[in-house]
Amino acid sequence: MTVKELETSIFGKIVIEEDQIIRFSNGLPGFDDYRSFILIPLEEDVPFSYLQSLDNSELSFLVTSPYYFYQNYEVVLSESLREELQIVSEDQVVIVSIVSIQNSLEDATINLLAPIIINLHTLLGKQIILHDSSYTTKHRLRHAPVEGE
Amino acid sequence: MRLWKGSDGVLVLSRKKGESIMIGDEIELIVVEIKGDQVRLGVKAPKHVDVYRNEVFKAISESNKEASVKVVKPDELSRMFRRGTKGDTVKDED
Repeated sequence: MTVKELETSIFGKIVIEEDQIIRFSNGLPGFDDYRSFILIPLEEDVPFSYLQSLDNSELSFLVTSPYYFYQNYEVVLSESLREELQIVSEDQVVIVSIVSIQNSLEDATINLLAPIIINLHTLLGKQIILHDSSYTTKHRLRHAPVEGE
Repeated sequence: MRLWKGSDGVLVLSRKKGESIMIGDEIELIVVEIKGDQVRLGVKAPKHVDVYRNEVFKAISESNKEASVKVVKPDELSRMFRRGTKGDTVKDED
C-alpha cells in the first residue's frame, strides 16, 4: 500500500493511502487542473465531509449529503456517467454536494444543481450538472432534516 | 471547407435549419430550429464529451470557486452544527 503525506491548510499533516484517492478525470468546473481528492469525514454526528485536493494542499471543499437536508432530492445517473465512472450498481455510489459557508450555517448554501458523484469501488468521481432540473447552485442549508422541499 | 474568422478570432459561419457543422471528426452541431432570436441546436458527440449551456457551466465554476475560498475549519463547523441543533437530537459536547 502506497502511503503519501500531505501538509494541508485545514487539517495540518495528513496521511493518505492509495485506496482513498478519488480521481476526477476532468477536475471540477473552475478547477480542471486538480484531479486527485480524498474525502475526509467529520465526527459521526456532524453530517459534513471535506473534499481535499491532493494536487493543491490549500484547496478543499466542504461537502455534505444532499439527502440529509433535502430528502426528496433527485439525481438521475445517466448511461454515459455509469460508463465513465464504471458504476455497476447504485450501492457503489456516494453523492455529495458542495456547501458554501460565509459566516454561519444560517447563511450557508448548498449546490443542488451540480452534485458530485463518486464511485467508491473504482474511486472515480465527477461533478455532474443536472440539466433541465429546477435546482440551483444556492439552496438554503437547513439545520435539521425537514420533510419535503 | 474553410470558413472565415470573425474579428475576435471566433469562427463565424452561416447555417440554415437542418444544416450542421462538424467540430473535429466526432462532434456534430445541428441547427434544429430557428424561431425569432432563438436557435435550437442538436449536438451529436461521443459519450465522454460533456455538453453544457455555457452560463450554467460558468455558474458552477463560480460557485465552486466561492465555496473553496472560505472553507470553515472542522472544529468551527462542528460547533456551528451543534449550536444549530442544540435542544434537538444532538448533544452539546463542550
